[in-house]
Amino acid sequence: MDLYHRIETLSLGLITLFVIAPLLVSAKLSLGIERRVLIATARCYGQLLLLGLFLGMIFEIAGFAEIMACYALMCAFAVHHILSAEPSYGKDLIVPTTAVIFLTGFLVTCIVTYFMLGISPWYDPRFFIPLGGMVLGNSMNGIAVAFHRYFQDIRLRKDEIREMLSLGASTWEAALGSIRSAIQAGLIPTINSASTAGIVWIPGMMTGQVLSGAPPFEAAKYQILVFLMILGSVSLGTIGCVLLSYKYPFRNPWCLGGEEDGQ
Amino acid sequence: MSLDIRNFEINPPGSGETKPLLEIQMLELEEGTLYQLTGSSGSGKSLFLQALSGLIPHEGTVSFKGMDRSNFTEYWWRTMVSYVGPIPVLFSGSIKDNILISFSLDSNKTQTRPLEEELRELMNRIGLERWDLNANASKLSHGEKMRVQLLRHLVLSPEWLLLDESLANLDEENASRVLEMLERETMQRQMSLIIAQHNPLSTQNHLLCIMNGTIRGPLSPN
Repeated sequence: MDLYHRIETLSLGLITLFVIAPLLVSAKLSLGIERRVLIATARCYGQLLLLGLFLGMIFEIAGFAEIMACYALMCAFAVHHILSAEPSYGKDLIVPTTAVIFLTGFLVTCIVTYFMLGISPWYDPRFFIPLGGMVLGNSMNGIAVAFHRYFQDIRLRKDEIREMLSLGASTWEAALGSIRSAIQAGLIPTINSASTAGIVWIPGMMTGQVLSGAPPFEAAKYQILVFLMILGSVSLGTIGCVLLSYKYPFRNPWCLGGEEDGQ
Repeated sequence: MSLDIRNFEINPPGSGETKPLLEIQMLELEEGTLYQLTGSSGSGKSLFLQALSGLIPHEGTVSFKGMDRSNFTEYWWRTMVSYVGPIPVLFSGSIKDNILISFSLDSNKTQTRPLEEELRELMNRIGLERWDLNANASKLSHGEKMRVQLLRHLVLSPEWLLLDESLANLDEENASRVLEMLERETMQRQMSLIIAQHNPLSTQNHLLCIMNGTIRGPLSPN
């Protein structure tokens, strides 16, 4: 029995009716978000339908090289997204961030497809691309938050860091407080979502599987696998990126001192 | 000669100036001496002290007792030519934790910690006698925090102590008390001192004056 329930094209069109509510509210309260709502709706249709077509193509081809190229492209976008938020250190951070994102994402996804799910070949795009995407997306968010927190914290603690250095602290000793708070900030959203899943909300992937006809208990098992996979990759990615990059603010000592009279 | 500074230049990035902010052909500073560094706001007093202690880059050479700075480790130089900033920095914990924090750093692990009596004695001399060593440091006033910060550097027995407007926020009585104590420590520990301050503290010290992008002096007392 095919449990998969298809969405009719007409329904997919009619669903835009939901957009009318925010548009009306926005117009009434002068929120000024009409344009953004319309653009978001258009992008949602465009990007996801294209993704559907693209994934369909990739699943057809299923060659190792194409899949890896696709994965590398996803990594490149993730790195670009992370570094566009930190323009001051952008260039210096490209190499460590790319290496960490690519390696941790790849390692975690491979372990899951090969050892845990026993997929053959391990790079079967039907598993590798969506799982890899979840890993990369979550790592990307964790690393972006951690970087943001780290560089902000270093700037705020400038006087304290200068004092530590004057007392003979190494770069590591002076930066440790900021390293800790950056890693915590990067991990907390993932930890929170893993610990509240199933009580506060039903995870998106599990919802998707149930809707497409999978037994809920099987879907739950998948979801556990995915959560722990994400927790692992976000931790590895965030810790790796912060540890490989913590010295960057210290390479330009003018960022830590150099203001006249210090007042 | 304790500190020998030659062809020294400070060029802050992005200043748009072709001329260095501070340029020193030659400056020789004696050990066991208290120097006062004066100069108008923005003349480069802080930058000079920060560069001297290795916190920001500079051109030229600085040698200590005839040995170039490159002969010393970065950590040794920063603790021995020790910069004290204008804003007091306190860490969480007691006053004692704050004074002794440097001994928990790897580079100072082998240094001998001062005894509790010595700390008490230093607290009395710097005007913190009303405080218990185990009191929470966050309760201190701004001026008292500054003095705790000074003690934290003093207990490491630096060769040079570079104070950047550190006494500026103390009232006259406390400032002269701290100065008196520092003069005594300079003698006792064979330590040398540079105090950067807008207005000269007393006429009894050697004077260094930043004018027109260079340092004049040292001028002898009076």
